[in-house]
Amino acid sequence: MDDRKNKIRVLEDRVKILEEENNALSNRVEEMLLLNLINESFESITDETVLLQSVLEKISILKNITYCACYDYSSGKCICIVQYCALLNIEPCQGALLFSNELIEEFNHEPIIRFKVKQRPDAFNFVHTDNLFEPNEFLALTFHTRILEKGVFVFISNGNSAATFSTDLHPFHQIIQIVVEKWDRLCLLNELQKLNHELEDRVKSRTKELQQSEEKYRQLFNVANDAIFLWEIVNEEMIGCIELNDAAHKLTGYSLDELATINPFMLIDDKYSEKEKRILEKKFLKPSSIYKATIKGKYKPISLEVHTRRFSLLNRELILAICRDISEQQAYERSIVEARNKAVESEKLKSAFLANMSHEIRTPMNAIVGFSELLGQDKMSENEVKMYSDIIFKNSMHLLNLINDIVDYSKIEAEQVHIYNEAININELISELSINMISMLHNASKNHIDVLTHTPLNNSASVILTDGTRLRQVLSNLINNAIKFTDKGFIEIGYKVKEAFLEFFVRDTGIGIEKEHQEKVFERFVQLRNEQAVNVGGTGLGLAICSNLVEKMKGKMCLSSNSGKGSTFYFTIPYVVND
Amino acid sequence: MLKKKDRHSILIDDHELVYYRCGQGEPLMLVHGITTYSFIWRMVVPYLNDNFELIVVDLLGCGDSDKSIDVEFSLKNHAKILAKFLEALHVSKVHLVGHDVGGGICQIMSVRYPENILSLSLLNTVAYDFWPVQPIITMRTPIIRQLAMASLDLGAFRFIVKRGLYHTERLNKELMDYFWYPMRSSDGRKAFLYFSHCLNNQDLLEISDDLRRLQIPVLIIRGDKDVYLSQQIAEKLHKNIQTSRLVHVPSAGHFIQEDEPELIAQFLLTFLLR
Repeated sequence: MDDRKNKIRVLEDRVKILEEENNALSNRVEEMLLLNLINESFESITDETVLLQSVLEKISILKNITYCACYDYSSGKCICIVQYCALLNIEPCQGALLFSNELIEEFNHEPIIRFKVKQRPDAFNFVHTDNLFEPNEFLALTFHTRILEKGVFVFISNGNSAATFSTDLHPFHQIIQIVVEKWDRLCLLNELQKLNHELEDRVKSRTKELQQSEEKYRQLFNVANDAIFLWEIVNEEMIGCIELNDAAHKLTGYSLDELATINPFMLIDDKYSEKEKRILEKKFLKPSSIYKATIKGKYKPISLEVHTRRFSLLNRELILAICRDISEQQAYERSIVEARNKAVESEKLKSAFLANMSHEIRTPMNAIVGFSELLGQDKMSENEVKMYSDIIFKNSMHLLNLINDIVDYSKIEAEQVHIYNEAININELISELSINMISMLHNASKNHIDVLTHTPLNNSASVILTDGTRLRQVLSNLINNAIKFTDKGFIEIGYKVKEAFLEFFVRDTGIGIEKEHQEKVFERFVQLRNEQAVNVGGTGLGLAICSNLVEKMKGKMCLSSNSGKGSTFYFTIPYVVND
Repeated sequence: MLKKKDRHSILIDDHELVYYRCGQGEPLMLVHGITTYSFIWRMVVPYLNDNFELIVVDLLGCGDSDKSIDVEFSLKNHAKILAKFLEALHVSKVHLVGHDVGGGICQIMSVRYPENILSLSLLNTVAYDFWPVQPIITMRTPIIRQLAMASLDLGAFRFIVKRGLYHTERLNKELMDYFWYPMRSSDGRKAFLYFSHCLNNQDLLEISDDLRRLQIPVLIIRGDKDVYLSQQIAEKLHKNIQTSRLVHVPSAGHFIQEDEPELIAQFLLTFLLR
């Protein structure tokens, strides 16, 4: 019986030992599970409050500790950061726990404070209404993190439950270490994030400023009236255009794409010789230069004034070329030169005219003055008087003609000549003029010269609408010239019908006009002189006046002549039959 | 299935109690145990609602009912609250069906308010002092401690549920979602742990004499594969209560409503309609 009892006792002891071992093992498992759970739950947490809440809840549940909290005592007072109370309903239970100053002071010196609440009833005051919670044992573990200088974890077990803290605080230290590490990591992450944000903000604002600045310069670049190009050079080799403004595109017609791989020298106009081209290229590559050049635009050659400047930017060798279109300026310059030349020429002609006029006017005036004086002498025969007065008359007429011509031409110059169309029978006009011509030839002692007329239209078709006075003036002038320069042969006047025009002509067999002078004769103040020709007088205005009048009558005047054989003057006027 | 249209809530002592009410006949209240709530009855309800007016309740701190822990979650107090609840619903006579600690609550109601109770059915119930110290063979950890850990970890919770089933292949995501639903919030976890904290052998030990004197019909259903509660509980109850019948279900674990809903419904109907 004793033996049996002994056996039972041994077995019971054995069971007890095994149970204890089992309990120790299950405690280990529990702790591992706790650490595992805490570590696992950390992964998704980004906020230390959430971190603490989660940790404290897990400690409370798994270690069966009713009250778990984390306090900040840096300021000398205890401020609750997070707390979990398994038996209190309101969460967080702010102000539930009030520490005595003595206890807070103790936190500063002791890393671990542990006592039975009954032994130190004044250490803290727990404000609660629930009698489920009877504080039993108090455990405080201080810690610090990067941002929390003085922190303390507080655990209070429940007296109603049998559980008290185990003597081995290793698991608590482990958990706290994990929490602090994670907390620090969170802080660092937050700081990093904050720095990141600040940096991003700064980058953003700088980027914005830069963009604005770039936009400003881009606009300045584009609104410039002058064409601006930026060319890149590498080892003195032109790479191409890397930038051009709107004005450059407008001026040349080229886009940036078209110029990106083009050597600017290829744009130099082909009118330049190779040597000239080399000079322009050299100028372009100088540190700075100003020159004029014509380039091949996309659609037409363009004259430019080019300002270049060579510089380095961010290790790139660049040439800035600012070009201004000077086509208009050049045209303007040309027109000014032309106008000046014209003015000089005109001035010359006027001086020649004045010299001529003074001669032309003085000669008949001398005659008039001289013979008038002779008329005043006492002893004069009747023949003499007659002769002198004839001379005076002739010279006065000549002077009068001269003055008439000048007046006419001045009128033409001043645009005061008007054309008045009326019905004129040109056959009659030719006939009248031929009769006059015969009398003039007689007066000029040139009776041997024959007068011919050519009037192909019958009388009814020969009445046309034109300015009769001007037509007569032109023909008379031509006839006078013919008489002046013809000594033998004939003078023929007449017209031909040429489609919608009538072509009048005056043909003579006089001295003729040399080819090189034929164009000049219609210019004003031009009188041809050669050795054979005697001075026949005249203003040099006659043909200029005629030519102008014909133009006014919407016609043209021209001449064909062989020197020594005679001349034919033609002019047209519109053939408008008077119905 | 519990239908949304049948869902109601009522304030008892300033705490919201959620319940489902459906079917026609004599009132029958279904009381769940710990780790579960009204959902555990969802497959039993369709077999009973043709013959009874069913009241399926979420105990305080469970399911969708109030989670605040300023009231005691002891079995005694739950019984008191449910009595007030029935009074508020104007239900004077009721059949009681309880599972797990719900069975304990129903026992207390039966002895405290015998005039209102028509019958008592206990499914894998707690009783006397055989709980909750039943050790888990593998871990030697008290079940409450295991529940505590389980509240924090879906894996651990799944382990508990799986061990409570005979047909373990039925543990799918849907069923696990039902179980895990209250554990997703800190309030739910706290209320759950508070509930287990408030469990006290004393509550049931002190009614053991009263149980002997019960006159109403009592049905005890025992899932033979229940690893959490001892077979001795059912046997002792059956021995002590003269009016009781004991039924064994060989193919059921602790969560017997999940393993054999039709079978236990048939047992209940046979018992209640005799």
